[in-house]
Amino acid sequence: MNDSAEHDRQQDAMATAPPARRSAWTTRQKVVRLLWGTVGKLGWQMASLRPTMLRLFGGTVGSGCRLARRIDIAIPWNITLGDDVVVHERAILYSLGPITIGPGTIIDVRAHLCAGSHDMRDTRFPLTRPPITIGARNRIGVDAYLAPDVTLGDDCVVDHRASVYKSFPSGSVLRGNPARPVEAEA
Amino acid sequence: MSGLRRFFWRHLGRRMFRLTPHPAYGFRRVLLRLAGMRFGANVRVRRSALINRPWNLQIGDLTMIGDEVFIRAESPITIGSRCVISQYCTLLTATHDRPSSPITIGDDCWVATDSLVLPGSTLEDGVVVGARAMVDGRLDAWQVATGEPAAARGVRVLHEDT
Repeated sequence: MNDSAEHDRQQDAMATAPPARRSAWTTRQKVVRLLWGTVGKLGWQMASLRPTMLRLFGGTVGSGCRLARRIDIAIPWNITLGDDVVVHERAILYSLGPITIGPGTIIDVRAHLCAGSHDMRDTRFPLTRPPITIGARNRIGVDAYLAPDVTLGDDCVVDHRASVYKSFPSGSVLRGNPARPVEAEA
Repeated sequence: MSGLRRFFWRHLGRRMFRLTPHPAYGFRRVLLRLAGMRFGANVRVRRSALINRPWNLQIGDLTMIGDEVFIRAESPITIGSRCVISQYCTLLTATHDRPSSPITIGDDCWVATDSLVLPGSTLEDGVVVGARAMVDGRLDAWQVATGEPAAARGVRVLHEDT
């Protein structure tokens, strides 16, 4: 196969693809997102109101959750938090797909849970919304990254600044980019 | 003229840019045009993107620059058509350990979220840079690259029916 000819063909396919007519969001969703970015942001200023705010916009929040002020939550109705979840400042919950966090999990400062992607093999580059599911009592480190479609079991530790692209079972200790399990030190 | 543009962007333009509502892509295009950025049709730049010197940027049609993207354009940055620079990406043309050098990104590229593109990097057409990658050097056309530093790990092949 001639590589450059194939590249030209693919580029032509991209250039001539008809644009996607419809937005990925319904009008109702756009309105709720607008309210979330305005009214929701105002309500978010008071720590005691935050779980209520999130529930009001369709999220599920357990009891005893602590949510910091500068969290970035993209789509509130896709968030499911268990009891006693702690989310620290500047964490990013990019919840285009459902993000489920089990009880007792700690999401540290600036951790990035990215539940949104694109189909890079499609000429229209459509949005995809794969889920992220993490179990109970996990610790997601500072500036760690969880890719779309990642599932973590219970009692996992994702080290600071690790980037997790694959699912891992309960009890994993993950480190690095791409994150790999660290053998338990004796 | 270019001095006026720089003055406008540094003291007024970039502040107005950040105050615009999310869907006001047209108004942001006006601000960027006044600041001397060159770009094609339907380029969309999110309001929280930070561009320090727009006059060094050249962008093709339909390209999207996402939220919180940081573009430090001390040297020229060229981005092709139909590209996506996803949210939280960083494009640097200057660091302290090497001379300031331009970045070139071809058509149909996707630099996925939270990636870092270092000075002098070149992305040929159709390259996909995985989330959280660090690009340093040249990436060949229609490759999928991930890691630190980013290395090609696969070929991007479009679906059969396209």
